[in-house]
Amino acid sequence: MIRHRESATQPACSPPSDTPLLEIRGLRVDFPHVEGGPAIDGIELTIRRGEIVALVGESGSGKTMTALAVMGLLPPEAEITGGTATLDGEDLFTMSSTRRDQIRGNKVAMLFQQPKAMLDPTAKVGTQVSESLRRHRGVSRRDAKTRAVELLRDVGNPEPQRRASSYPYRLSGGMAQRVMIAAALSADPALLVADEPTTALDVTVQAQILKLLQRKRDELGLSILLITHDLGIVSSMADRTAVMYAGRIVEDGVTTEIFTDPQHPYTQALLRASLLESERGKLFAIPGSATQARAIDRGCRFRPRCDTARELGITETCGSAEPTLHACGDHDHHHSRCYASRGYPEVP
Amino acid sequence: MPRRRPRPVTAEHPRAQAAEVATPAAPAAPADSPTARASPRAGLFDSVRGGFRSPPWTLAVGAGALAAVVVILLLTPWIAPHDPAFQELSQRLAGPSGDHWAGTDHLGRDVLSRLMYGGRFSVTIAAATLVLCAVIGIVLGALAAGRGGILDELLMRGVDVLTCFPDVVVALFLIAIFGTGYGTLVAALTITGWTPFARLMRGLALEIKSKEYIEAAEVLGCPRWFIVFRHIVPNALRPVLAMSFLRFGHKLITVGALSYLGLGVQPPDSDWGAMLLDAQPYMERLPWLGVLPGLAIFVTALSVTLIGQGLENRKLPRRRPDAGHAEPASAEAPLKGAGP
Repeated sequence: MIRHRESATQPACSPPSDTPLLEIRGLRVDFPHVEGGPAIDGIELTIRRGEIVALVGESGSGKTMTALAVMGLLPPEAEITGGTATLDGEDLFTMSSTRRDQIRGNKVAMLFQQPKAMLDPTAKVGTQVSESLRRHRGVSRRDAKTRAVELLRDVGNPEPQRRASSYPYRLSGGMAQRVMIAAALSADPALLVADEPTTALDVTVQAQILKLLQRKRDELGLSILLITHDLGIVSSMADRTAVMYAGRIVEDGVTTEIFTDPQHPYTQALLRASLLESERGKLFAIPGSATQARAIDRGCRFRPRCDTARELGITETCGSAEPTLHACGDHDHHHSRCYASRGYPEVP
Repeated sequence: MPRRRPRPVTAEHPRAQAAEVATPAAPAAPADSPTARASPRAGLFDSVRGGFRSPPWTLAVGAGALAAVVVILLLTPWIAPHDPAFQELSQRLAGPSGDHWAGTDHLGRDVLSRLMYGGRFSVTIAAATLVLCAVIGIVLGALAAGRGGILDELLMRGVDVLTCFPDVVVALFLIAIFGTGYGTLVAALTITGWTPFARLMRGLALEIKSKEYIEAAEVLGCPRWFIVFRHIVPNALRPVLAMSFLRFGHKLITVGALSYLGLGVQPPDSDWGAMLLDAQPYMERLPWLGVLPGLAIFVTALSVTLIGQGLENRKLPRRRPDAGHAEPASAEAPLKGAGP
């Protein structure tokens, strides 16, 4: 397999341009029949072309719901109660289902957590890889077959010919995810939504898949919305990072800055809880859980678990009104939603 | 599971012993203790626990018997000893002889030849009906599950209504309106016969719809009809196929019943049901006249049912419980050195 060695050390092979590809503005997703506040509450997220943006947060923070909302795959119980999402200037929430079918696979594709479950056990691997091509590019059955073999070879399949005509049960988890990547990228989409693409894979395979994704970004100028709770992946992959907590983005910014200079107490706690920062043999854990926090309607949602607020003695301020997402410093590439973080307009 | 009263395993229960030996999960007990000899886990309830698993030879026996029947029926025009309609009135109701292996009927026609030609009608009509039923049932069931809403509701209530009536009664009603004939016969049996397929297909489709690979297909931009017929139907086909085989015997018997009532295959053609009707007055004196067509129906229906049962019990061959190890690690290995 040919691979550009320098691409990993220079991720800006095709530098992110400034035109936004995906713009999510004030997205709200509600489960009307479930108690406990909206699952997503006013999310702002922009992804530019060729950019990898990571969405991190613990389980139940609304990462996956955000992805599903973008893909139009929200479960029937969920309801979008506010906000817009535009892909290339096109509103994703108001478009017809026909148009949505045209866009999916063609402009935006998705990777899932359980790659082996994502393949139809009764269809050959090659058929599934080229399904998107057949649908969107009108490729003939025969051409689709040869294209499928090419695509499988491209994602690092040692025996693409044989693999294409075999059934999915023969695939390992890592190989299944490669196949899914080949299928997702076959029609050359501009945006790839990857929902914990490596969580179900073991560590060595995980690294290979991530490298493959990075290579694809470099080759195709692909934008990736990477959803994960693994901070190690974020630090090595993402250009920008948004941290979600209880349905809100609490901090976003350039990845290096988030990791070296986290402003929100939740981000700081997350970093402390990760293996990167933990002292040997002693893993830090944030007490409590994020799920109940959605129900908090006044004040900062992280307040019940926040050490910073307690140390600074500002718990009451935090409880009276929720801080806004504000710029940390005079540049516009780092925001935080905390009274205690740097550059808050009126420090109480 | 509550422990049942131990039953002594004796020579009359060879199956109980066999089952105990074949169940590695059975708790190991000291060989001389009474529980070891009379394990409550083996025996009568074994089949219940195992979901009535039929023995492994069902498929082979069924397939063999059906193949024999089909070959005979296909070759009938060449191997039948007599013209099935030729009446030799001097030889009426003759017993089996060298010339007429199965004797003759009340009009002096050769019973063996009539059995062979009659089977062609019985089996063809049953098979045609079955295929139509399966296709209509699969399409309507898949649509009901795929579209949901009012269409689903209407279709399934229609199925409920049709299921309420015994199919022979509905078929009689339709034949009474439209008159006898092969078309009417097949149509009448199809109208009453598609409902179990639709129900099965709908249930399977609803289950498959929640599978992740359906979501993946949606994400690739496949329209709903495509997903239904490309991904949902193929994944449901195995149980539907098994049911088709199980329903075939039922169809064969229904066709026979209608002919027996004089509303199925009409003279001069004849099928097994019509032969039964002809044989009825002579049942006491010449029992083979009735036994032979009855046996033919029975053997054919049984063979197909055995195939169906065998298919149903077979584990999905394309899936393995340890599929995670199916791919040798070497498949990933060439990539390990690729990255910096």
